[in-house]
Amino acid sequence: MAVSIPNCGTYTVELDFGATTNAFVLDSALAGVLDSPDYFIEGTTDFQDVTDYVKQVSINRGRQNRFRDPTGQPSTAVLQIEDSDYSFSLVNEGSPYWNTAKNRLGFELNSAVRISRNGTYLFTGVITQYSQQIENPNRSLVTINCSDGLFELNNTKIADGAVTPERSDVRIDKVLSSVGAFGRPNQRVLETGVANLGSAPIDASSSVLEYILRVHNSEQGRVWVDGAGNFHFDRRLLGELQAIDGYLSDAAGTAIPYTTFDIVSN
Amino acid sequence: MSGFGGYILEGIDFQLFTAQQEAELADYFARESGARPNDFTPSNPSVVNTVNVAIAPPIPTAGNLQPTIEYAQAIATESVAEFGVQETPLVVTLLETLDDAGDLAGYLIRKIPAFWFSGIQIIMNGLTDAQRTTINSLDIGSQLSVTKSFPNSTPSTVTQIMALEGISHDITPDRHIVTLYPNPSRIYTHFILDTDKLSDETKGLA
Repeated sequence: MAVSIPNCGTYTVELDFGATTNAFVLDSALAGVLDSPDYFIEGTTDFQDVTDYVKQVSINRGRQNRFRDPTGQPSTAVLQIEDSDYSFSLVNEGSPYWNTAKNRLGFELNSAVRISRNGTYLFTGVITQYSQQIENPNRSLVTINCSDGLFELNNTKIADGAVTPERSDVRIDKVLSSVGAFGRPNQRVLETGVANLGSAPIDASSSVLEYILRVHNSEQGRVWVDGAGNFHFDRRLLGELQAIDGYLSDAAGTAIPYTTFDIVSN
Repeated sequence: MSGFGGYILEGIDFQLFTAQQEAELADYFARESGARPNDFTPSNPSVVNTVNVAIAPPIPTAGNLQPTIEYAQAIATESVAEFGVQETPLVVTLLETLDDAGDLAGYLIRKIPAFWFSGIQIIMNGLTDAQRTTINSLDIGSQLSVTKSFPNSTPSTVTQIMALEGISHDITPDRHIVTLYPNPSRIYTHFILDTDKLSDETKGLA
């Protein structure tokens, strides 16, 4: 269940173990009815709230220095799990998270992960690495590494083909559509690009992410995935008015206080 | 701007070239991510006063096996005089025309070194509900105003308006620490009469 941190809020860590709540089941009298409004081909992921087991969560999104770090790098999250009852063990067939259809632990590569605070998602992604460490006699510690949707784009080959001259955001939209990535409604937030792209053909040997970063190389804005898992493409900023979203200060007052900071010189 | 030649805008000199190099970075030439020089990363990122932006060459044909690369070059002459030539490698983009390449080259110029506040650590436990809600709503691209007081410095207070480029969370059962990584932005805030200076490049009129 969700966990409250004193003076911080309510936090939830959820993992997908391969089960769905309303998937279509062939020949089922209830779940196998065509045109059913309640059951769907892929179903809805049955996320499991594992917050009670979590010792620590570390999330890194975006980049620290835009003059040094490239944009479009997948966000990461690391979960440290105190596996007090071996529910997360790779060998425990009695685990509530054991996927009986696959006959293995349901938490595995590409299982979905969601981390939220007060209902707002801080990270949405998939498991990229799962490791269990046993400290004698019987303490089980599990470390789960996760990445967001950009990781999947890096593992997806792009289809080759001719392209026509168009704006950068239009090209990215077409590329994402060609592989069915970020296809849910409103999951792509694409600003109108500044860059006009030519007709250099797409190289099929590159990954989708690699090609998107080539497009971005012509735009020089940002490519990122937000905490809820939506893809963002920000255009090159030529100077425009924008409201301030947060005021931080080390002086007393209503501004948000901070403890430490660096002065960075590029 | 079209054809070959050059012009000067705000101290930046644009020139367009046909390179003698082979088209080794053409889009149809595949390399793994780590090996591809996919960014305009100069050897010294403090100052970038010479930027080279190429457009993808045509596909080789029987009559032209090694197409040449056309590229635009932006040079900040005053910066070159002060810091020497600080140049990016020639990067082949997907841009359509040399005009587009010239615009991008000018955008990437950084005439003088910059500094900014970053790595700003906030302990959520110590904030009010409203402040926590504000921090929770921040995301990449959000604009921040950060003020720091310096006891032995003139001016004694410095405020920077920046765009958020990165954010990290460290959450344990008893605390939540958020670290913000803002960077200089080309976003303006509204000019305030009797407060802001006319020469402040971060202020604009709606």
